[in-house]
Amino acid sequence: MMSVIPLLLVLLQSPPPPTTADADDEVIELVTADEGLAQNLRFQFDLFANAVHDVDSGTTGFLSSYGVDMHKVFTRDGRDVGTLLMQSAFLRADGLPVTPGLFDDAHDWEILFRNMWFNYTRWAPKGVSVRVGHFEYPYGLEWAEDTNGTLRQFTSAQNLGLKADWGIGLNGWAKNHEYEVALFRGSGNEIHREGGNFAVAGRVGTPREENSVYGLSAYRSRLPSKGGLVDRTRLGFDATFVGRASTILMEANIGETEGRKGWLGMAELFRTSSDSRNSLYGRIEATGTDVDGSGWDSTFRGLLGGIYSVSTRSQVSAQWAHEFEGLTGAEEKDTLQVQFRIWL
Amino acid sequence: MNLTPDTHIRCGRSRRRKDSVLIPRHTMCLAFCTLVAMANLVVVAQAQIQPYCSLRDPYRTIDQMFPSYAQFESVVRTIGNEERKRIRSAIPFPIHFDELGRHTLYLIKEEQATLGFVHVRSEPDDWGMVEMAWGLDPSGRILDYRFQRCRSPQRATISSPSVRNWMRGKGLEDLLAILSEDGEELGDVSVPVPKEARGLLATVLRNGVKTIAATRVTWGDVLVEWTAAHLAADVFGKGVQLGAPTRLLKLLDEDQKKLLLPVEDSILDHSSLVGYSIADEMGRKIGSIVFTSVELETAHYWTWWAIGGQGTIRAIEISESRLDPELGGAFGDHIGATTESLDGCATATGCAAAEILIMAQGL
Repeated sequence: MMSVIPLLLVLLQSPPPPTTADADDEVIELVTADEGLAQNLRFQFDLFANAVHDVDSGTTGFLSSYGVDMHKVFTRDGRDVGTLLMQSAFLRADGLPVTPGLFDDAHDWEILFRNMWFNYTRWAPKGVSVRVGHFEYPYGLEWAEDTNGTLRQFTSAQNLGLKADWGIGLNGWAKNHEYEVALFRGSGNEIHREGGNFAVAGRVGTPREENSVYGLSAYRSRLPSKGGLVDRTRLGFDATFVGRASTILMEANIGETEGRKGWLGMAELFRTSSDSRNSLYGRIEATGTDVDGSGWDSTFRGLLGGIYSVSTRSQVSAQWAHEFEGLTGAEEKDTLQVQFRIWL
Repeated sequence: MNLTPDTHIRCGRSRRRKDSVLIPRHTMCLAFCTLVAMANLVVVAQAQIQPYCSLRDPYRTIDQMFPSYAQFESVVRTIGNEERKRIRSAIPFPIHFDELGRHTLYLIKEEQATLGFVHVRSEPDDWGMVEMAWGLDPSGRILDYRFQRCRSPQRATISSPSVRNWMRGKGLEDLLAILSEDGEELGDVSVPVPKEARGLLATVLRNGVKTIAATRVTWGDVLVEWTAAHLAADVFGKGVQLGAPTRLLKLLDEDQKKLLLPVEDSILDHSSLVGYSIADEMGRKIGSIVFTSVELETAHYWTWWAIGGQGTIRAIEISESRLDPELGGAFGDHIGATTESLDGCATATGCAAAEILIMAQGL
């Protein structure tokens, strides 16, 4: 019930006063009003509903999200000093085939902090900014590609144990590179100690606006899990190649989890329409885990997905995933997901 | 290594030790509710799908275009339906609904001095959206540009130094003159461009046209004031103070308005006239800057007029580089003019100068 109160607050708010201008039909509008909080602010509601169908068991579940997306640039003495990003949502799970650990049971509400950070940009022209808050681990393709709330997710969460965390770090750019390195609490959505949990991650790469992008990432963490704290180390290489309507994205990782060596790789072909509003993608993911020095236990997963923009403010997405081979004892599995998303 | 999916953010109540929580759940919920409510008070119209985590300031691009820059200031404003109509009236091709929304103009500064501004805008092309960062001067002339995103194999050709040099200094009317009437085709281009790259060049030119028009419509007051401040510093010296912008037409009473030319006979757009009083460091008035839009041979230009304390035109700044040298000279002829009557004016620019001086009296 408590979770519904913010939504009611939102619905009861009156529309904002328009920004005043001197006259509507003049060549130059003299904007004189102090916009107050609205100055340099972007705000929208981000709502989506996912249906998830487990083909093998025949079960279908739903995940709905009621979120806000807010971006504000702070200026002082005629210069930018920082950016605040808040992307948070109330999530509702209802009988998902596999209920995420975020929820306490199969029918539950939770607050999710996707992004909740402030980036101090006073020295950004010199190539250094300081980010603090809840943000994604700077690692691999996930750092350069926006996948928040979408069905299309890269392997960060699977590979690193978490996708985002509370922390503080440096980010910026040099002539031909950009970078981010950060120290995290190692607790995920909420801040809590588990007796030594932490994470540190960093990535350096070539600029994202180029058509060939390369990145190197490193990661070390001790994250809470069901059996206690789990140590992970990772080294990763990612590459993105853009040409005509296609984008090829690749990521390769090696590392250790609790002393056991392993690897993870993925490659995706992403095709977009000429107006960039509709797209199709296909991906393969593979992992290998050293089984007591006697060989590699491997998994393979294939994904096919599509994104269709119904209007300028709404999208329908679908994704089919097939797990070809599971870890020892696991069976092949097919999952179909459909999402309707709208921004208001 | 266990790489089985462990993808979920661990925060379930049942597994968390209460004494280890640094920020309690109810505090987070309260903060979230408060921020949602506050944010909704200032919600603004949006028309573009863009999760805001994907927004990134183009630091590297700004550094490439303005190597001596030290800082910038973001000015975020809404391009809504009203702005869309006004942009559409200034350009011969449509601006789409999905180009609306909140957009940023970056004011690029070298410590105190202003160098120019940067605006990023997208344009559909054969291989997806092309995203361009434009470096412009306050009059809307192109200083430089860079691709932020472009899937075309012709990207390198159109971003070559020779094409960028050819583009530099061009304004809205210059770009429109290169394009066909509907903006779809390229006309004569005085820089060697392979046939296969002409389509992308046309896309870039259309994007440039939209960028200049959009920045003028949406951030016009910022650009006008910026140029006025520059002109004031050039003419009256550094350290002078620019007063608040004033609609000059509103300062005139009915008798004074009769001293002006009828709207249909004047090359000035009377509704656009904005004046700034200029004061020295002691606060004493030493002159004024008058801005107005001018229509010459169906083309529109922005003009700034510096007027000295004695009512003398001391300098004129014009937004476009393509201005016919003869017409440019016709404007230049009136520097030093002090006429405050239309009785003796024999040319369109002479009458415009007289009107400007009449208007400036009210400041």
